[in-house]
Amino acid sequence: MNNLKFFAGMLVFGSLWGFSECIIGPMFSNAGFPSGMIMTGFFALIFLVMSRRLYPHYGMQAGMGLVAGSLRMINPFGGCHLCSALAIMAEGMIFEIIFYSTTTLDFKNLNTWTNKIGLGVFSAYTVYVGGYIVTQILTPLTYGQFYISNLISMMPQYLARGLPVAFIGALTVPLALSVKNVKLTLKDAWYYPTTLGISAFCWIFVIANWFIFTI
Amino acid sequence: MILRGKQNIIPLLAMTVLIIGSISTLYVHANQTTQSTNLETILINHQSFEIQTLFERFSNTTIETDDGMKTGILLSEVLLSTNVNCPTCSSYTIKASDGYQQTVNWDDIQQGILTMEKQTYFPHLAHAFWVQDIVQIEVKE
Repeated sequence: MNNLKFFAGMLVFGSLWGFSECIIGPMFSNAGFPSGMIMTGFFALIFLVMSRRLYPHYGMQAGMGLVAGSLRMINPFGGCHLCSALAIMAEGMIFEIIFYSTTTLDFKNLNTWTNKIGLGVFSAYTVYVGGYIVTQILTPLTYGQFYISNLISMMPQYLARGLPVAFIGALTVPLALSVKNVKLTLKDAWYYPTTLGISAFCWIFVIANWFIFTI
Repeated sequence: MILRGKQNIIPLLAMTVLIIGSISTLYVHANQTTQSTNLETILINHQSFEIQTLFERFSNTTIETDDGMKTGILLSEVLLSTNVNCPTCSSYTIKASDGYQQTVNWDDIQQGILTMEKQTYFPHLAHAFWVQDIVQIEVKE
């Protein structure tokens, strides 16, 4: 797979992730569901694992986080957009590190259900809690007002909030790993228009949504 | 380094985070049930105030935020009434009932409000600084 295809894949999966965070996340939140937990435990992990299966290259998920975080940054709905954007970027990076350290690109070392579920639990918990902690450091730092005592006082809460996400990840990751024959067979003539079209749709929809609700 | 053949570490890592998450959950719940917070008062600079009294004493102000218009009393007026020795050289830690806290300076306090629902709004800061269900505002000089 050439670099251009790789970057187009990163763009489309990052855009889909960002779109779900901007559009679907607030819907869960408005309905009274814990949107952060659902978005990371289900949507983010599905996109991250499926993209790693489709594009077996290192750096893909970190890049997806940057794309999704950038899309979240321009969407000022559903709470703190700076905090959420930073969390998403951190989540992509943390996922990349976890999967780089514990799996091979072809996932052949994940041959048992114990390992698949274990990876789901560990990655979901670490990605969610890690993203949360990173944003609690970087957001105040952006305003020059980071105090370690503020972070420590809430650390038990952050560590506790990851538990439900770990259980969601125990289902999501094995599910995404168990889907058979995940291959991208689009020819170049279709691949680029499709990936760029889906990405453009996500960005235009989010920006249009912002205009509709602010004007 | 890719840990080829070291997949046995995965269940161990999963167990570790489950234990950390479970212990933290127990700790948080134990802490919440033992907390004896009076829901109608806020401790500001070591002085206890009933929220209703604060709203009778100070006039309402409406500010524009990226989450709409918010009405409350000016934090600067409330804090000055508690005789802060040096407002500009102090920092202000706003604490919520669940342990969440954020620290801001006087420039921020001057733009912030406290609502009847015991929430702060700072229109110029990220939502992470909008502390809900406040129980204390600590002044550190």
